[in-house]
Amino acid sequence: MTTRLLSRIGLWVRPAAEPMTRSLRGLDWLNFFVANFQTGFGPFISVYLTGIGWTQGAIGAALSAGTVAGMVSQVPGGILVDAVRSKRAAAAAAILAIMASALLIALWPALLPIALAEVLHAFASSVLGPAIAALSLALVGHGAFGERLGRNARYLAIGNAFAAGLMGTFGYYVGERAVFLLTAALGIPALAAIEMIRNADLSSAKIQQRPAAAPKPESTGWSWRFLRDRRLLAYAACASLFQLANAAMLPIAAGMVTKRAGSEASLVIAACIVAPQAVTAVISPWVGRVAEGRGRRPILLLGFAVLPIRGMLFAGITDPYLMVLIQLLDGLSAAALGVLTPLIVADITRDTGGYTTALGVVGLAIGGGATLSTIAAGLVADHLGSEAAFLGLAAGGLCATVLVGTLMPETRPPGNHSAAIRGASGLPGFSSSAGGP
Amino acid sequence: MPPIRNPFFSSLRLSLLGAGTIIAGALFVGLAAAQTPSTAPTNQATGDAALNGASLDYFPRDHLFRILGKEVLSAKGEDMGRIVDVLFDEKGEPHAAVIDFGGFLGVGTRKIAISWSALRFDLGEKKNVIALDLGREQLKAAPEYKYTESDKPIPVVAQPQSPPQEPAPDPGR
Repeated sequence: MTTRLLSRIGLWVRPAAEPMTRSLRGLDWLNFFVANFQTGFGPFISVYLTGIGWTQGAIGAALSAGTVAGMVSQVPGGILVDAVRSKRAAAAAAILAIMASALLIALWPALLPIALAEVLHAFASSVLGPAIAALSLALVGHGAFGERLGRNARYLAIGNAFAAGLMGTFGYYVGERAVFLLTAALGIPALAAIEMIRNADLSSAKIQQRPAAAPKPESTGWSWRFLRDRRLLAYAACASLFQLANAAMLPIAAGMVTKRAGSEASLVIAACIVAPQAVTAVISPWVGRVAEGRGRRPILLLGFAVLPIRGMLFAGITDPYLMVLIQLLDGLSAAALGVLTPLIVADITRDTGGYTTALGVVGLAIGGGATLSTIAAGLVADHLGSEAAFLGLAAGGLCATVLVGTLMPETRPPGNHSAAIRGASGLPGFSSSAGGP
Repeated sequence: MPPIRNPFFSSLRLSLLGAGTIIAGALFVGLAAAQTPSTAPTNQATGDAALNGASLDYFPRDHLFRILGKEVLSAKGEDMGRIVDVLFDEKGEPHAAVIDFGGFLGVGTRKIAISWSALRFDLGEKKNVIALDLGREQLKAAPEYKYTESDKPIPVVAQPQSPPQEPAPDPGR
């Protein structure tokens, strides 16, 4: 009975189904549940702490501890994932740590425990993201990594959208503390999803089949040389500038919705959060195929180029419902960067053994850009108004796009043509000349 | 391909089981805490030697309450947000409450200062909320309150004719 129920939801496969399929399913679910249980740690924490009578200063202090830890831990998290043999164990440990931090937040809401929980969550997240990327690469190999990342991004987006609805409902009807108990509970299916991924499928065999197989990382010894790769630094700079122009856009837009819409403002903001996730969920697999088939650059340029457009539209449009439509563009950017960040870093660090370390470096650049974004755009919005803030963000997005166009070469290795035909058939109106080098 | 079982699998099983137990326990504790009645001993004034002459009074729980984090509802029952700060004037009287207004899951909230006289505390049964004589439509476009701007005047939204009754006893701090 239980077994049948579990097999229904895909958690108990003992099957005729090909073992690899089971592992890939596990990865799907892992992305879904991780997105789910990471949602509670967003701006919602301040709602919860406000509700139990915390002062704004104390909330700011606790959350700042998390922000700082989130940046500091990026590179060490990546190094750790590169260093440990079992990426599954690393991911499972990170999930357990995040569950512990959610429980701490729910059950012991005093300044020190909350700050501790924030720091713990930040460190665990810096391990979990790279660990999932490394697991994905180990499952499918470089040849099919783009398509796999498209799938990862799809399930992450579905998980994010689902969680926003779930947490919103839970917080409203059951209470804000319950959201964190739910968050902790969602770690259990995430762990179960890791268990679905079989160690046997995680071989590096597919990676080594590549014709141009360079010496194995173990034999050459690990070196920091890939960190000086011009392409990695260029990508880190581009992604950082992108986040500098992007991160503050949704919060400021949501504030405008609160200002302009009436009693339905909360629903409109919910739509601003969920609608781009739907777009990401729909187009991510296509993004992955095009990145494999035609190359990284056209998709990258597309994802970056819609950011300044979004900023200018936000600056010019006041209708709250139209703002939801503008937010759909965010789904395009999110899909492009969500797929291409792990893909481009994998291209660059291929056969170096430093994949997740490099991911950590890029993560640090992205985190720095995002933190600076809310500070800078908040200051501009306070003194010059939201329109000026949106125009400033649009200008930053334009700079980021130009930077991608001038600095960022195509990183797709030659000979990766297996997906070329399929990639072209995805959506019409997308020519490779859009961003060819 | 035969299923390969390595030690990590079984330890993961165990950790799943352990995590489940912890969550179940935590849920139980949370529910139990939520159901604990919040009544307290009745009024009794005592003099305590250990207080060196200072007097000590006990109040029923439903006479005094915290203000930070308290939900504010409009007359129509709309959710107006939570009180995040109280602004006092130079006489030490509360003059305005800052509420965190609007948003979804904490995204898009605006802090708005509203006049203390627009708040109503006499809610009878509903001790957990405070009523406001202003509606969402009146608050949504109000300028945001920012405690970091020391040089600018503070915008406080008020009801033109304040209601007859004065705010109930000062909650104290």
